[in-house]
Amino acid sequence: MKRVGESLMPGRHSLDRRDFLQLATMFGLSLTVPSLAAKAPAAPLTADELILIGEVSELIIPTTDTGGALAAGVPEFVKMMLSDWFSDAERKNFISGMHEFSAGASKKYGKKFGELSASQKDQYFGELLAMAEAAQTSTSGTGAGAPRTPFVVLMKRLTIFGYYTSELGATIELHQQIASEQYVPAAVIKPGDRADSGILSAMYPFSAS
Amino acid sequence: MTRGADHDFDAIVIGSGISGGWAAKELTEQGLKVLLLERGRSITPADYIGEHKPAWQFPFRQLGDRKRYERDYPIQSTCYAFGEPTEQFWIKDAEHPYGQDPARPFSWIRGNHLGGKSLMWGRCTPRWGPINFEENKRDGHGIDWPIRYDDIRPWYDHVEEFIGVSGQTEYDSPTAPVGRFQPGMLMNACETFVADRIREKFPGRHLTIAPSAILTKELHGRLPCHYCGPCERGCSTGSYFSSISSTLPAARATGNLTVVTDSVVVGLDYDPKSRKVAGVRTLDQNTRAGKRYTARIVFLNASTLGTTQILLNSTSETFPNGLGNRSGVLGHYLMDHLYLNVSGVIPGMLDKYTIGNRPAGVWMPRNHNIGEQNAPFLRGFSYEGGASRANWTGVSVSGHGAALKQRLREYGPWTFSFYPFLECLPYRDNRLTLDPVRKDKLGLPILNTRFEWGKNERAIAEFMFNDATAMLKAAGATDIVPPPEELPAGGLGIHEMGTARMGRDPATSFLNAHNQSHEVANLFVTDGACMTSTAAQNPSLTYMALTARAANYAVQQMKSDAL
Repeated sequence: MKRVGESLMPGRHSLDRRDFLQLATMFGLSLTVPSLAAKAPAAPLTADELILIGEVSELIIPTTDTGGALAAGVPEFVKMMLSDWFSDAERKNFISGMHEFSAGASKKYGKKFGELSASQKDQYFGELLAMAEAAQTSTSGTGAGAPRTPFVVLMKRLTIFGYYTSELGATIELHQQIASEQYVPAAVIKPGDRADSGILSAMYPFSAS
Repeated sequence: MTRGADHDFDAIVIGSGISGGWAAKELTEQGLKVLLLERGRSITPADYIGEHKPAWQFPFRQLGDRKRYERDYPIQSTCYAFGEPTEQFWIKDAEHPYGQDPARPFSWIRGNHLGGKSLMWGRCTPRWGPINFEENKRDGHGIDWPIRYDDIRPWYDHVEEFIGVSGQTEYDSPTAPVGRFQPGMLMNACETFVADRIREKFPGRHLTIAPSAILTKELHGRLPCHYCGPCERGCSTGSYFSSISSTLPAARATGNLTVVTDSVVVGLDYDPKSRKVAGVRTLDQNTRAGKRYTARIVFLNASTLGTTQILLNSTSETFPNGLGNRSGVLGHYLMDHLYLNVSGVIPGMLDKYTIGNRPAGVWMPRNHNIGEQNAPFLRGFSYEGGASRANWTGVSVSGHGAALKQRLREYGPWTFSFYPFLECLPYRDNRLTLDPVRKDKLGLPILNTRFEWGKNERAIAEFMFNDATAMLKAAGATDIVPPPEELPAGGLGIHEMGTARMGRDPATSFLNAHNQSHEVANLFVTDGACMTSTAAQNPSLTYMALTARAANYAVQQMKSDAL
């Protein structure tokens, strides 16, 4: 992500709206200018938070014999989705879930999530995800009430979508053939064959609520 | 045939979509000088910007710009084919307002550009069978069609041969007669399995590849399908039928075609002395410059709702309620197909997959109430469908890490989906009217809609779910997903029909057996507005056949000076 400081580097002659808002937030200014408030960018992630997002995404889709979520640029995808795609309420739910996730790690291990060992990170995230998936707390698709899908579930959705729609995920991890010229209706799967990565519907039913 | 000095053109065709393109082709090939008016922008294959583009090249990876869609495309974005690769082919709802009855909403899906919805259509092109032109008379719902299957059959031949329809020719159904087909595409391993189980358990039922306006052999310089899949993004090889790939090039080749885009028809002027349309008034959608064109005949192909909007807005002393509307039926009897979805997971065949994205579905013609009344509703329903293996988009795998990644590397199970189309009876209260107050940005009265499904459609929907479930279970399906309990709004079948219907009696219909206005001799309507019933088949092939038939009739009448 673009850090506030960068916008003040030589060569930059003006603050854009996002920079202004970041500065304003930094200095605790209240944003009462309607034209600015109306176009308020999504709560930006701090550098530390973006690192957290990256670490969690890599837990979900790790590097194996192919690159994982980090190599596929999933953190940048998550950041884009948060600022440009999520609704305000969905973003708020995500951010507060992320803060709870961080606080929970500190409470449980006495250390920040980023300072945990690899196995501790995996265990902590895995337990939370297993609990969330067992409880099926997701309200995806209902559109009713405030968004309350847990952070770990949102991260899994975002990571899977961001990874398998990246060039790495779509063409190296999975298989992609845009136009086959021929249709083979009953091809036989051979060991090592990978599934086709194509999205079957024009608009994928992704839910952030 | 020469046009009089008092006319700009021999014919004006309003609208360039599936039926307008056909009117332009037929009329120009018969030697007429034709003006084709299109309210939207021009389109060439260079506009197919989503074609063959992988997900990561879209800003939102095919999720689309949700906030912009909510603001600009709240209705269009509910269409199954709308998305980030195709959004340029839909109108912005915010810029093209229309009225919805809050309790009886109708979703008006529109593409205002050269070629219209022929660019994004579903391409499934079954014929209608003899029964479909007879049932209105037989059961008394709706008025009698003024034509029978034999009247339209040669025009189906004519259209299929020109547009290229691929399909199976082994099973000749009474509600989907075999036509002049190119070889059909192939059914995949799962579809073949399901078809075999259905045939065993339900003798007489045939699940086959759908007749589809997609080439399997080269035709008029258009190439066979290359199996990329999402036709609605546009096709640079012209492999599926659209006005852009097929009819408009043919019309242009005659040297008789003039196309004017960005030209919104405001209304048609009526001359009571000749009982004809005297002129077509237009506004440029960008400059708002007004023009008036004249011709000996006018073909109205502006889409079902668009055509009726123009007619309602064409008032005169003779016709204060819309041009040619002496009967009062104009705007009434709006219909659509009720379009639903039932799917299930089919176990087995896990060593099989498909190579290529086949853009034709499978199809099962209507099975009920043929020859005898054997189901608790009138008319019936057909099925489209298809099977595919789930990939990462279609499976839910718990957990995380390397195990999850490995699992998503492999294909999931086969899912078979039925997409039934249910016949909709004509109801007088399902209607279009002009708003007396509200106007669009060009100052034209906006169209108000009111549409609700009737008891018969609800009865078919309930029956259909049990019918589809029984067939899926015959193939061992699990995880059967029913359609939503609340029926979708009208319009989302995108088979809107009626509101200027054909009939025998000028007191109860708008058009005669040749799609000619009963009241205005040089006015023809050959888009979905002309339809007297919906059958349970996709209607576009029938629009095309009716258009070709009407165009050739009109030319004959002009040659004999009857027009």
